Amino acid sequence: MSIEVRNINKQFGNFVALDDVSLDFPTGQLVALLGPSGCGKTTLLRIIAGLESADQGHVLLEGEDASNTHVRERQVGFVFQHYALFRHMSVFENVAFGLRVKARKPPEAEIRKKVHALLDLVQLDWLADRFPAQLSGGQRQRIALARALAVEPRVLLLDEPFGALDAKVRKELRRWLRQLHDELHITSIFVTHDQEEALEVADRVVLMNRGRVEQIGSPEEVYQHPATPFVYGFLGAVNYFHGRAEEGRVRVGEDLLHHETDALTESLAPGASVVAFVRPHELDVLVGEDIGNIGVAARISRILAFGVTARIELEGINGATGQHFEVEITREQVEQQGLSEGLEVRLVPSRLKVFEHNTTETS
Amino acid sequence: MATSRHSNVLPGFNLALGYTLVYLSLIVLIPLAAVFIKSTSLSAAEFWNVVTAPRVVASYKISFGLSLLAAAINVVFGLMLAWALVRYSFPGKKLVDALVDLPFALPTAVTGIALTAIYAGNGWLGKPLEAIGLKVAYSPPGILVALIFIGLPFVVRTVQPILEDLDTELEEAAASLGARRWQTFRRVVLPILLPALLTGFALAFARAVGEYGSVIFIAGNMPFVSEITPLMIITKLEQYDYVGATAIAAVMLVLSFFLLLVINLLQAWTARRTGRNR
Repeated sequence: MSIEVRNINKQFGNFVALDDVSLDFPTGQLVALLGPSGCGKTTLLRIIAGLESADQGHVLLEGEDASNTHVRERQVGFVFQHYALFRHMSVFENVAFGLRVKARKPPEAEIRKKVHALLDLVQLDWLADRFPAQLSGGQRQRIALARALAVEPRVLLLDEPFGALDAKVRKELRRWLRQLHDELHITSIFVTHDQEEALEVADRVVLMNRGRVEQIGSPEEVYQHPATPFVYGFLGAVNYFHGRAEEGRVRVGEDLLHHETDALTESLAPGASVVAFVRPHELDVLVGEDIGNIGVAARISRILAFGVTARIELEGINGATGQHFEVEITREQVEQQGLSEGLEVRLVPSRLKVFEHNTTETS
Repeated sequence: MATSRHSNVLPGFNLALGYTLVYLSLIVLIPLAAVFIKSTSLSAAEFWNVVTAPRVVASYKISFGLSLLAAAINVVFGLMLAWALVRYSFPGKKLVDALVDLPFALPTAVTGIALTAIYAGNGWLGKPLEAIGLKVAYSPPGILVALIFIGLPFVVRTVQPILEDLDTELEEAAASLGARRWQTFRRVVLPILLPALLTGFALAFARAVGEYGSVIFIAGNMPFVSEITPLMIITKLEQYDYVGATAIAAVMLVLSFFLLLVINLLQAWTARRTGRNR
């Protein structure tokens, strides 16, 4: 079932949680609402579920205005960050709850069959007689999901479903959620502040910041082509260079950074204050060669070479004094170029994204 | 074999157990044992005659019946009061919260006099109530009012912390699964509160059975109608019938202990049924 939200506004006292948000969630997709804490993503999810009501705006489920429909009638499955399992009921009774409270309660045999089918689906049928307190966090969240699916919801809403779990379990459950979604094809929205999780699991990612939508797109799109400085900063590690726009390049003190022109850089007036973004793997380290003022001068402060790639931390000198940079290159390059701590080098970006400075909001 | 290798995280189990037993003996068991010992100076037939005298039996019915009823009423309204105090904010909430404890602090005689003044035939509440044919003061309903009054804080204070810990997410989860408000209360909230409610019930009941001061003013103390068991004991004492008094006291103790035991077993049963003791 498709979900649309139209011009949603929500305030808590003076705090604007959602500022005129409009979004479409197409049928059958798994969409991630991604953003830092306090960006309004959970509030939006709760408004879609009917657990919270918007000050203004509408929620449309399958094209029908559901703004005044009570959560009980919206047929949404909601999964909470802290599971919200009924601790006085066994796992079986938790999953059966939605069936037992129905106005037309199905016969007991049917309930049993359905609950066991759902427990099989989440691969935890052997835990049917346990109580929630006896389960691990990952198991609890899977039971919570089975419970939500029991009422055959039209949409599935997950609020930071893996937020309370440790890193390893989180990774496992991510993969599992994706598989489950591929099996069921139920329209799903999940909220997360973990960019890796969003990019890995979702069909589409909605990036939110300060109650507004910053960018919508496939994981590749938003990662490769961030639309705003916020998105650039939020999705992965990034280096900033503050400087002034010149034609086809950015001047950082005495140093120059060249970049390809695009629609955004064409609109920049020469001399405008800009900030340039470069990912750590998009920076080359040059040593000893006389290349004038191409790239930014920096001094290596630390080399961390224990992974596949080596991470180099540098400190700016000359134009970028006091700034910290991070570069990722292969270990071979570190050895070939004879990089060592304390060495002065020049950093040359292979790819540079320039935004005007006054619109810059970084996370 | 002599010393167990199974050492506990918290030390001092033996010390704690010893202390508990000595303390409990000194404060509770020995004085209570004295009651039974004293009452044994009666022969079995005499004892039976004293404790089954019609007037005394009537007082058991009044005392235990009204105490159970008062505790039950307190469970319902105490829960509502605790719910309001935890879930809603309203002007004067802090004041109401403080007022709940007042029945603990008030001397029971003051309570009795105040309630009598209000519920008597010429009192603020007694007058309109009598006009509709309900006589409260100097009759069993008056005893009930006093017992409700003194028992109220027990239920509120035992349920309140559990309610504060109760996550609203549970109710939201139930609602999203299609449960109506009543179903959510009945199937989700009530089972979680039940142990605390039972504790509150037991405390309110125990307090009500032993209450003397506040009841005595409002009860009217008519034989067979509004005499409570503690009054029977006092009456015997005033006639220097110490043995008779302890005989009734012994019966009262056994009955109270039995009822509290039942409530405790009920609590253990609900705990087991809801997976807390596994």
